[in-house]
Amino acid sequence: MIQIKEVVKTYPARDGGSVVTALDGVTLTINRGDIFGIVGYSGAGKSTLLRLINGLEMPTKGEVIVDGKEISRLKERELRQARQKIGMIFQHFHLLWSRTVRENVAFPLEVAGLPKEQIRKRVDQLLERVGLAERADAYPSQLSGGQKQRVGIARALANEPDILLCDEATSALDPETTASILQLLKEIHREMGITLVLITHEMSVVRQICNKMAVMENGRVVETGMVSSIFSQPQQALTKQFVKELQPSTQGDDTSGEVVELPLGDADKLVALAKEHGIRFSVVSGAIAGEQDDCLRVRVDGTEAQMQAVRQVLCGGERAC
Amino acid sequence: MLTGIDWNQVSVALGETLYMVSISTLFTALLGIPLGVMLTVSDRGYFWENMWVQRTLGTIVNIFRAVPFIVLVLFLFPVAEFLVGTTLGPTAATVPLIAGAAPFYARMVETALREIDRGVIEAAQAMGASRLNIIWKVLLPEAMPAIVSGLTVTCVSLISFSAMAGIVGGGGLGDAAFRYGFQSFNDGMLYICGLLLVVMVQLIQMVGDWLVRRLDKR
Ligand SMILES: Nc1ncnc2c1ncn2[C@@H]1O[C@H](COP(=O)(O)OP(=O)(O)OP(=O)(O)O)[C@@H](O)[C@H]1O
Ligand SMILES: [Mg+2]
Repeated sequence: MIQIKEVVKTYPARDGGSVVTALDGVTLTINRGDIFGIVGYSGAGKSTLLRLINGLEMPTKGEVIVDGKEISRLKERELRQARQKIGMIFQHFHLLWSRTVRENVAFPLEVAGLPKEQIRKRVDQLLERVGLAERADAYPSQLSGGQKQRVGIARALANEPDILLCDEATSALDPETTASILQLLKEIHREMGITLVLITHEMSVVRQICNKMAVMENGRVVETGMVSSIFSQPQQALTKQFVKELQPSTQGDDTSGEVVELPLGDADKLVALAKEHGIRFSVVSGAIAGEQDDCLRVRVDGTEAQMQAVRQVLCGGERAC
Repeated sequence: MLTGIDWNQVSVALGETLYMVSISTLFTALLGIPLGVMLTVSDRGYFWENMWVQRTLGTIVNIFRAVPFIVLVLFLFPVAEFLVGTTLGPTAATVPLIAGAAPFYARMVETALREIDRGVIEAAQAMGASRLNIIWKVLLPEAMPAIVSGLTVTCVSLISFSAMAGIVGGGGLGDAAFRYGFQSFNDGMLYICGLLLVVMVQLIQMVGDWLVRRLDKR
């Protein structure tokens, strides 16, 4: 479906700077129906790689072949047509403020030259699919982040693309919304058999929905393969680091130590304790209910002497606070 | 204070001012918006990059903006003869008014268009939009509130400039205030013309603000 062959992408030097090499010889194959994750730190070249696929950037060297066509050889008109079959969604949604939800989703269909009646029908279907039928006449400024991304997805799917490119599509969303957006993408993948390419810096996203992945560093792909095998046997140092990032979540619910409750106003005492006795605290929960009821629950773990100090300071010497 | 006002002269002058301001605002918009679009989309990094066009247009606009309005008036009255067949009266005055205001307004439009997030333009490109699609369906609608508020400001300054152009032969309220009021020691005429100008400015600002509020969906 997508073949990237020995692609180099450089940006010319600007006001006295040196030439920027964003991609330094990337070769990658993405098959039809894959959910392909690309991870890497900021500046690794992920966005640049993604933008090659729909011709927003052209390679300096090498070739990018999508659906049998070499993107850089296409004439402007052909490129525009090819792009209608490649949807794209963005971290910051990039919706049109001046258009309603319905009109935003209609945009790619207008561009494709569909008659009004068909546009209307198709938009209704799409909004129904992403669960936004009720908000059809709202403006983007009236929507939550998750809803905006749903509009973005509906818009990207309007022309029934074969490929959907996602550039950090969930990075601006909270974990719950992220999960619901990923769920939606998964369903769409299953229903439409679409090829998904998604960039992320969160390994949890890759683990949740991708079947294949690539790890990028300094404009190169350092490791690529099935998600399952990379997670079980990461080869490169960078990949190991990424895989490790996921571990804390499995160790998150430890039960050692003791939980103490204190008024929110005493939070600064914790800092003092941490400094003086080198005690580690982790916040379990907190509530802001009203002046009197505000409280903070923290878990303390340490030697008996340290625990003694904690009780001394926080509870005036008694065991229970 | 209101004695000695020749209401006939006032209404003729008011008509002339309305005529000058509306014609010149219309043509300022018709010239300024395309110019502003060209200045933006031809710039580096935009989708119709052409530095030659960008620099040439930019220079012309700057020259017109640098020339003091009164000099434009004096220089362009002869040009008006050629364009509209007369060097006198409100029609002739619209020529320097447009020449003075359009480049100024083009820069305002340019600023408005540059405010648009580049990502939005890129999203449109990614959906297969053509360059004209982007101009008509993305740039202009997204910048419309700023384009309208810029036109309000321009229209208000056209009112005051039209008063100046009037004195040099364009007619209108400025001319009436000067000739029938100031030069004829008729305070009533002076005040009523001034008052009408103030009312016009207020009205235009109100309508402009109302429109911007309606258009702005952010
Ligand atoms: N238009 C451009 N002009 C010059 N340099 C660019 C341009 N676009 C990207 N770069 C450079 O190319 C490199 C790769 O950028 P890219 O946006 O692909 O990184 P990324 O992996 O997507 O990072 P992030 O996670 O921050 O989005 C960076 O060093 C960046 O500064
Ligand atoms: Mg990026």
